[in-house]
Amino acid sequence: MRPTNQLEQWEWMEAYHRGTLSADERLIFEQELKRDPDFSRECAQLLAADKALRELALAKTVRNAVRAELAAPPKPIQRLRLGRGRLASVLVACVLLVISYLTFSQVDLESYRQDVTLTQRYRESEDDVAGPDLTPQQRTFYREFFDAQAYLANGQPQLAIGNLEKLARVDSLRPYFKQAVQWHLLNAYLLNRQPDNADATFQLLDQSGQSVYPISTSDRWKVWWQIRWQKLGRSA
Amino acid sequence: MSSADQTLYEAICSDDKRRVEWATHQLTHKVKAVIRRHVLDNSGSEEDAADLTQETVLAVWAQLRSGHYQPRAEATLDAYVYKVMRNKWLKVLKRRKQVGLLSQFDDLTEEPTAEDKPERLATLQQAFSQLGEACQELLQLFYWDDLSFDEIAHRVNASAKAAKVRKYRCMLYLGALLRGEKRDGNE
Repeated sequence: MRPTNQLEQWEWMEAYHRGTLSADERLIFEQELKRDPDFSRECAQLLAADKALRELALAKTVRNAVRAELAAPPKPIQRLRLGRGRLASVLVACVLLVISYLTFSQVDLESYRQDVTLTQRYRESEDDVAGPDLTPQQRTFYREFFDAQAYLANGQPQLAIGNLEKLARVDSLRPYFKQAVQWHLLNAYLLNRQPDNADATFQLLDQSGQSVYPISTSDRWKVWWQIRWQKLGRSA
Repeated sequence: MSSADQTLYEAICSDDKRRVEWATHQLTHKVKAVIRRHVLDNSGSEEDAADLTQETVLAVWAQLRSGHYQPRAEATLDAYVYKVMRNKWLKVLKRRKQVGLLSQFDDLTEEPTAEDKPERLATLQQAFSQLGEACQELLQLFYWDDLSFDEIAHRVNASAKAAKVRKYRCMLYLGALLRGEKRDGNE
């Protein structure tokens, strides 16, 4: 039933606009709208005002928010932290990348197999081409060495170790050949999961005076790290 | 439109003040640097940049809310904001008779856009300003500041019931103004 009190009538209109009237009340309300033009006009005026005021209130919220955002001072500390955080993440990612590379990237021994300094000297002596003659013992050393390289290439580090250890015990080897033997031996140890022997050979190689056998720096780092990695894996 | 834009769009169109406030902060933060750069590079000042940011964001909010701008998959919200901003700044420069300076900017368009049409917001604002001060204060306390009638009554030094009656009377007057109807009484 339509309220008789003016205030209650306005509240009734408001409830209708909010959709909080029951179905029966709603029906009565809509009958009143049709029946009473003054009631209908007031109802429309209240609705128009309510919509406008809500919109103006939101517009004010927007204005205030823009003003606040424009007045907000830059946040150097937060940016710095963010920058440091990002920098730290990048650094950590780089370190992990380097560690992964050092850990899982094997030394490419095939590239050392193409060492012309050794192969040419041996071939020339075999083909009887004019050049430095090799003694039978030297020729055996070469053969042992090349066999060891072949074993390594075939994934038989244990066999390679046999040959190379024999060569490493020979005192009369010239420095170039000696370092080549030590380098291949320590790689064979690594492939055979013998980090202690590899470490000892690595130290021998380091102490063998001036480095004449060409070993790339990245390969040196790889074996250095992989020796430690294998030791770590064993103790864990 | 990206999902971030979609979230922003939904929040801007919301009736929830807190969501609108959040979205406005986000949008302003995204565009303020570009607007500032554009204004400073085109014979404007820092103050102009702040005013233009204010007007642009408000216009974009009104357009999105009214449905004049429909989000499209291929268009970003930023691009729309920048278009509104460029047109608004062109108008400012025209008013200042500095259009010649703009001939070098091919991307500036003088085509009328939705945001150039008479703003509904301005109409509402004008109608509201025609209310008496007491009415304005009371309605602001209720709609702007979300105060209860008890709090409003305390502020306006009246009973809650009297404040409520006054609020409805003010609303009826405002409604009549908006609907172009004459109303008895002096509000």
